[in-house]
Amino acid sequence: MKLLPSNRRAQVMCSGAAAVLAITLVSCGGSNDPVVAASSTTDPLVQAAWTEIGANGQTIVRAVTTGNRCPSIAIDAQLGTMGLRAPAATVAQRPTASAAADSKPSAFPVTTCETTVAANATSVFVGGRTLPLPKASPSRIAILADTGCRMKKADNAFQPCLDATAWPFATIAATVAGMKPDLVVHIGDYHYRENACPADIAGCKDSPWGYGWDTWAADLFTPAAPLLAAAPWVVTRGNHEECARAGQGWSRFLDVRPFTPAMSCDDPANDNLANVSEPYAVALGADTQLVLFDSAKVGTAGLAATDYKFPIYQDQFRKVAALAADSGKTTLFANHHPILAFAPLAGANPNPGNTGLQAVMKTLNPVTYYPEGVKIALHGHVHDFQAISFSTNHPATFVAGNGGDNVDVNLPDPFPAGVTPAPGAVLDKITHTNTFGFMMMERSGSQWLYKAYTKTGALLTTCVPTGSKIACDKTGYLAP
Amino acid sequence: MSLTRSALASLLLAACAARAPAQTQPTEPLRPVEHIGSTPRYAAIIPAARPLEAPLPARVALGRQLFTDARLSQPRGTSCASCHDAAKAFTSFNGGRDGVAGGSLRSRLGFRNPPSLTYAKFIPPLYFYQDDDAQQPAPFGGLMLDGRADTLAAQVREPLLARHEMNLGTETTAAARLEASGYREVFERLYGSGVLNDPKRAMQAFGTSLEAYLQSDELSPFDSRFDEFLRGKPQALTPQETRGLAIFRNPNQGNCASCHSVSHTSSNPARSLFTDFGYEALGVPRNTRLPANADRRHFDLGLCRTAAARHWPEADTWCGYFRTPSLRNVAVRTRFMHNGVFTTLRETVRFYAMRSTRPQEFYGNGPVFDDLPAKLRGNVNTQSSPMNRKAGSQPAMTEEDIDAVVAFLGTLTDKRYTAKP
Repeated sequence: MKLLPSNRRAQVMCSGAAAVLAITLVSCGGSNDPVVAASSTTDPLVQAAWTEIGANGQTIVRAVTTGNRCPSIAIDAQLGTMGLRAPAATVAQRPTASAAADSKPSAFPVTTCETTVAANATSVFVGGRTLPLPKASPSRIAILADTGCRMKKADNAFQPCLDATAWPFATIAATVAGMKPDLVVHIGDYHYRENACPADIAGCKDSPWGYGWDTWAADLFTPAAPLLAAAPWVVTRGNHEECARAGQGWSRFLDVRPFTPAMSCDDPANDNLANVSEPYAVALGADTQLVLFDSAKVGTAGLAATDYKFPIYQDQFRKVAALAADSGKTTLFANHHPILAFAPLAGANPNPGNTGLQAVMKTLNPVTYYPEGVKIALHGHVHDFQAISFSTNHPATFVAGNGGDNVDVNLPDPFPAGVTPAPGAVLDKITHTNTFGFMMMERSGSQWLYKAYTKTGALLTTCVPTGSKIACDKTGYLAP
Repeated sequence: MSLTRSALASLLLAACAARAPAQTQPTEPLRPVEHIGSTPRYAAIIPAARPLEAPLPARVALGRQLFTDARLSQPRGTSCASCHDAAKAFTSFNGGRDGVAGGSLRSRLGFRNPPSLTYAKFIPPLYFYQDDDAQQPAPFGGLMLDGRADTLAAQVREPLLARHEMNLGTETTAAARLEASGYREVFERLYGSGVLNDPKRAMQAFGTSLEAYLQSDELSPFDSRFDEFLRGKPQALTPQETRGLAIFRNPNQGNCASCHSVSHTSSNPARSLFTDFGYEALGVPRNTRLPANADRRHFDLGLCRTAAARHWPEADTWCGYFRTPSLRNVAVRTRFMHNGVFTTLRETVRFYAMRSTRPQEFYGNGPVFDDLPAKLRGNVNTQSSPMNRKAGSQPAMTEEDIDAVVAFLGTLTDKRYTAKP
């Protein structure tokens, strides 16, 4: 955090509390600093401001501004200026997941700013917004994934982003915000608008596209605004945020690590490094932690032991094991690609979980895949909801990939006997649906309840965990 | 082997005359990522809304003449139009019954419900595509409901020669019949000297002419009430039809648009052909009245025959799959599904809505998916809404919803079929 000169701080000191900061700043007078003056009302330059939780419980405040300078920030009524994370830039066109003719340079005509906030801070104020801070004991945690609006020429898929029934992420975000979560966990795939909307399609007409700020704003920051204001976010990325796709925006806006050119995804020469990141844990109160794992580049075609990513993921799963070894906490694991869950197919038994990650994990834990401490796994990627419990010693698994992008087909109901997401894992119960929605973890005494909701907040099922098992009050397909 | 889209088009349009320009003009090179068997896999969908070169008027005129010429059968009396009547959305039964058409020999009946040829020009050659979020490549395109013909030119050859259709038998016979029917002058003018003396060239020229006619705007007018709606007239649809469209699109209800693609906010009607050219195994009930089905061992297995011919791995996994047809002009039809088992559009829509929740209504007390051998019934799609629900559970669509979808489908009828006499 960059503090302002002392006279600026003094102006703030005449204020009693952050909540009245805006009024007081004006009444204190004497300032013609546009940064401070802008704090008296919502700063029109600040396009988004939010809170993330990073490694070691770090509370990170981020803001995106069209101004050349970072906005001021008031932390417990102490005024300062946010630090620069990434300056405005237009990045030269790089190879992307699309043909060169359907790609363009990524324009970031915004400054990304950040400030790390002490764990004991009680209030944060940026650009006219009071930002949510982590609670020591969160009791309502929203879980969602795969939220963007698909615009992909190769698929001939142009989701009507302007139609809330066809792309309901804004509805979902508003519904979740209305439930007043203490934390939001997004398990990847924020960005789907990769190619231009054809001029004749009104449903996505004039939508931004490509990987620059305007597209990130349209796909995430604008529809998610109520949810960004409601609670701090915990983020991990999906395959749509790997370097050849929306990795540039991921690194500038969401990645909890410091921004560096090497991990910016601007230069394809750095992709092998930038497409992976170390796992870390986020405490969910005193008794639970969530380990975040970055599987953005794992792919779906398996992973040979000779692949450069194999030893990297192997090392990262060793770190997951070390994090999960904290016997005082129940460990949840979250990554984008389902590991012990299914990928549905029409007219066939579903495909198993990600065989690449399974192959890596099996070298460390040949039977259970996960290290012993992991009790529950959370994923996205497959565009449905799944809640799976095993009769074998494997962590119960949830998939919450029904957050807005086009949904996948359902899993079969009844579920075919003997079908498993990974060799050795024996299914006990499965509950699933492909209707749009989200999950919520809700604290109930000493345990968490895992609930699935529709996009408008209708409860679909409640799952109660016991160790690494879950028992949902419904099984099979959940009709919306 | 790397194959450019132009080169591919050249191969696929082999039926065209040697000096003829391609009727379907690729706009940019499309290179296969790989081949699955002999079928290319591309890195992108071939969209319906792609530039298609207008066919040459002279070929269209000749194609139209050939299409309705009942001399081109053995015995004479049957033309392409006998089973694809322009007055009936290019579908008919030529005196057949129970969902299949009669051939030029009245004792011979076909095996499938004759498809409508309207909007067929948009169907691409058979290919695979796999989105990076998809689990495996999926086939798209190909003429015939089993995709075995890559172009209209190749497709039209089959009924001309097939013994249960126009029954000319061989290319030599067909060339002789064209000669005997007075086509030499026009064929030589369009396709070169001596064209009817060479049966292969004659068939290529025949195919090219028919293809030109089928590619003409006459068969793809885009003048239905739904097209008016697309062009900015919301009042073209009644409230019930509008509701039907919403149910059609809603993944929780009809979910029809997941295969019968529609881009209801696009002013380009080619984006709303109501097919993605993909394949589905729907498990429609066996049409026990079909003569071929008198043999209990007879099954129309659809795509897997093509899969085997093209050396796809595990070809049997494609048994029971048929290409998703366009729903344009579906309300003009009198028989539905590949085996013609349903006689009303409402019954057909109801099948989708109730197949899984009330299976006994469609299969009686017998096994479900009874038009497939027992060992292949696992190929049937039981995952897509609304066909994924358990027997006895609440259907995803009410009877009123079904009525609304049927009403909406009625808006896809081209103007020539709605005009009052």
